[in-house]
Amino acid sequence: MKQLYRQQLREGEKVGMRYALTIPRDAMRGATGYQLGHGAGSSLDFKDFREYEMGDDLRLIDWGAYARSDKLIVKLFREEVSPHLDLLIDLSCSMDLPNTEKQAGLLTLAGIFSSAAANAKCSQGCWGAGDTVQPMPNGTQRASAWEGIEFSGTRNLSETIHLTPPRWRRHGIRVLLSDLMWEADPLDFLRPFSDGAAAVHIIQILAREEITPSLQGNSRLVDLESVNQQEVFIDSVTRQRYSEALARHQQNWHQACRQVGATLAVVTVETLIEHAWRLDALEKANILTSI
Amino acid sequence: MIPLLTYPLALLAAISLPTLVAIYYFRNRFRRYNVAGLFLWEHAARAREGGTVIRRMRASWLFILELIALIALVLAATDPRLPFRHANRSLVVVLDDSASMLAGKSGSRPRDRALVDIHKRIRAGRFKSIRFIQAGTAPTLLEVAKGIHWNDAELLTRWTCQSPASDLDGAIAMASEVTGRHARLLVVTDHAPPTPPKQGRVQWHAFGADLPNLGFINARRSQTAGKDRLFLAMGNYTHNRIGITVPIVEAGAAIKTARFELDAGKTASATLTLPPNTGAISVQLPGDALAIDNQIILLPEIHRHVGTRILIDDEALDADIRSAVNSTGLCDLHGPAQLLITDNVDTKTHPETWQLRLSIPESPKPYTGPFVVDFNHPITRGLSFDGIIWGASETNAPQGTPIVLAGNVPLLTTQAQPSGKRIFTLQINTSLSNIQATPTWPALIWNIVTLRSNALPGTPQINVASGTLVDLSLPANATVLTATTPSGAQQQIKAHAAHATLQPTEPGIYTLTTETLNTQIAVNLIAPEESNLSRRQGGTWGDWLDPETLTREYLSWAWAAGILAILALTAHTILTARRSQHGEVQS
Repeated sequence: MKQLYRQQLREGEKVGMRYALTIPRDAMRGATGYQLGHGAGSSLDFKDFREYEMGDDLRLIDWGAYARSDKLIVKLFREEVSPHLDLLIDLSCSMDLPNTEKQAGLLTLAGIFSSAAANAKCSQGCWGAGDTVQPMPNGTQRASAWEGIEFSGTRNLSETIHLTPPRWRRHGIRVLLSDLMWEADPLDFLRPFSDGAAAVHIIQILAREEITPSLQGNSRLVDLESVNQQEVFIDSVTRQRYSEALARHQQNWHQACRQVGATLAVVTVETLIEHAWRLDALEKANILTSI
Repeated sequence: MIPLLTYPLALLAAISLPTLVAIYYFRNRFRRYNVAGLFLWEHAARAREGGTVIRRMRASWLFILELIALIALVLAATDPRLPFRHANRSLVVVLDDSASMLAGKSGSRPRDRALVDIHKRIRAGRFKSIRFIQAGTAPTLLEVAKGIHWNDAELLTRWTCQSPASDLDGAIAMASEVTGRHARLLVVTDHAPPTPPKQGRVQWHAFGADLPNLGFINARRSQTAGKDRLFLAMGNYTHNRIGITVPIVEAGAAIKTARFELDAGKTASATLTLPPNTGAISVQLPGDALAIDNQIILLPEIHRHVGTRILIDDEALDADIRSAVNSTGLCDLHGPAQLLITDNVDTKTHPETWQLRLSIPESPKPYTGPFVVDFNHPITRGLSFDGIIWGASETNAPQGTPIVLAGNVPLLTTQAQPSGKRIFTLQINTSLSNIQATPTWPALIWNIVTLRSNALPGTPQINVASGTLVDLSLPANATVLTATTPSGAQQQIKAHAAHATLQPTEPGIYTLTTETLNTQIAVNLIAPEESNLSRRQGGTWGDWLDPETLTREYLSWAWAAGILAILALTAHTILTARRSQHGEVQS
């Protein structure tokens, strides 16, 4: 893996030190973990009494209460839960858009989420979505330890996730870092991605040039993933139409996310860099929390 | 080695090369722009391939391959050919032997440069043999070469360039007969061909130049009415008017002068009377571009008198004959008889004495014509029979080949002996004739006497133009004539029927001898066409290549050019496919 990528992940880790991943209620489930869950568990924190039921652990019987009331009463303690983050990074060719900070922004954000997850006492698993979805080597560790990042994917994520459906942790938080630049029904991806997840966050990462292109005149547009080409004449009208098409595309994703209960946030890399990585949009979307 | 192009017009296809360059200049440039989602641009209008704005061209591999393919295709279309290693050709060189080939300064004269060119052709042409044909007034095959080697000095002793004219057409025809149709012909001369040679065997190389020249174009010397008359004509082939006085020199001393005033491009003449008993004279002009026409040498004209004996019984006829004989001025009535004029057929005479037998019919009739005359015979030269009355008789018809007839009645006949002796028989009765009172009579006698004079040993041609055929009568027992040229070389000429013929070209005095004969002739270049150098020029005409030669001697390399084009186009296709695969774009 390129040293540059590692450097960018490390940079993200540093930035992410001031953020924590927002853990949704549904993520607070599990038998043992680092946090007190909402259910009854086996932690030492007393929660409540109830009458003994067949099968309860005899060690939980409150003998003092029995002596006083001649009723078998059991003590309930708070459960310890372990939230989990599954971070899916889009490793398609389009994420390494030349002459932009898009790729740097992606890895920095990935590093931020890795740190934020750690800050929120979440376990993590990093997945790379190239032509297949594969767990990233050392993906359960901090971002700077990840390996195998290569922006070579030519297949869109809707196809990829069906081709190689990954085994996400149930009730975990799933975050997708991608530009969402493929032509398909967003639900084709969102449904499998959000299935069994406690929370789904879709972070659309775009370069400023993608939002407001500066093209003018005769241009040969080359799709980085499909290698299709189109020779076009670009003027203000064309740029306006592109912006409208992009807005429609984003609107489709918004609607699809609402349908599956996912959160969609759009970030512009150059803006984040200019604002020293202040992730107001992500905070506002309750994806990250400043600490 | 530069290849030969079979179809050079195919080079016109090379116009496609600047067209290709222009396409790349006018071709619209598209800025490459990588996008993540091309589907968002589907609404954009398609751009045109080309436009009218010239843009800076950037040479790409595709352009270079297209250029290579086009060049290779154009080259293949021209069918380039290279000569085979081994050629098997003969070369025939026609050498212009005319005097103008020596015009100019030594070393740069047309003959000198032609010799250099011949050597160059031999080196470049890979010939198996070379032959030379000397084109003077008549073409002559020179056997001076062995294979492709010859000696320049030996060649130049034959190629003297002293001829008054050059029969190049005859020489080319001889070359074709001598070597067959596959040999190559090289004509070296100093002027352009009358019509450019067609593609094939003949190359015409001229090395002449328009040079100013002043030269003698005519010279005569004659004995007329006891006076030695000299006639000189000069041509001014320069661009300036010239006035010149030339001395007439005898034995090293000037005896007279002649003055000439000539405008540019004009001729002038002068007639002088030489002092009595003047021997050989020479007239010399100053040196200029052509030296050979600057000198005239003339010997005194010799009248060879004919020893004549007249034995005629008829007094009237005798008087008429003697009158005519005396008027010729060519007869010596006191010397040995070389011509006998008699009316007695039984008169004994020397076996070599010619005879004019006069036959006088006793019952003549007057014949007024029409007269049938053999005007090809030399004794009828200048004769007119208009108004002639000739008294003759059928019964007295003489024997021999008729020369003049009245109807079918022979009036004058001839008999030629094997020794060259001739007997003329003239039938005439002067009482019924008027021919003796007409100019025809002395002219006839003059022709007979002149014919006899010409038959005397030697030649009446004392002063001749170079290249003239000189016929000499030799003594009866002579078998060989020795001719000594002005430069001292000797030629042995065999005699046939007491005659020998030579065609001198070297200007100067020739000495001609047999055992009993010793005479001289003066030869001068009298050739206005050679003295006039204004139409001389240099250049090359004709081509040795024709389709047959091309096929036989040159190997085609069009296939190599075709393969190069295929390789370039294949590489072009591969490169285009790769670029399409990787999304690279021409820019």
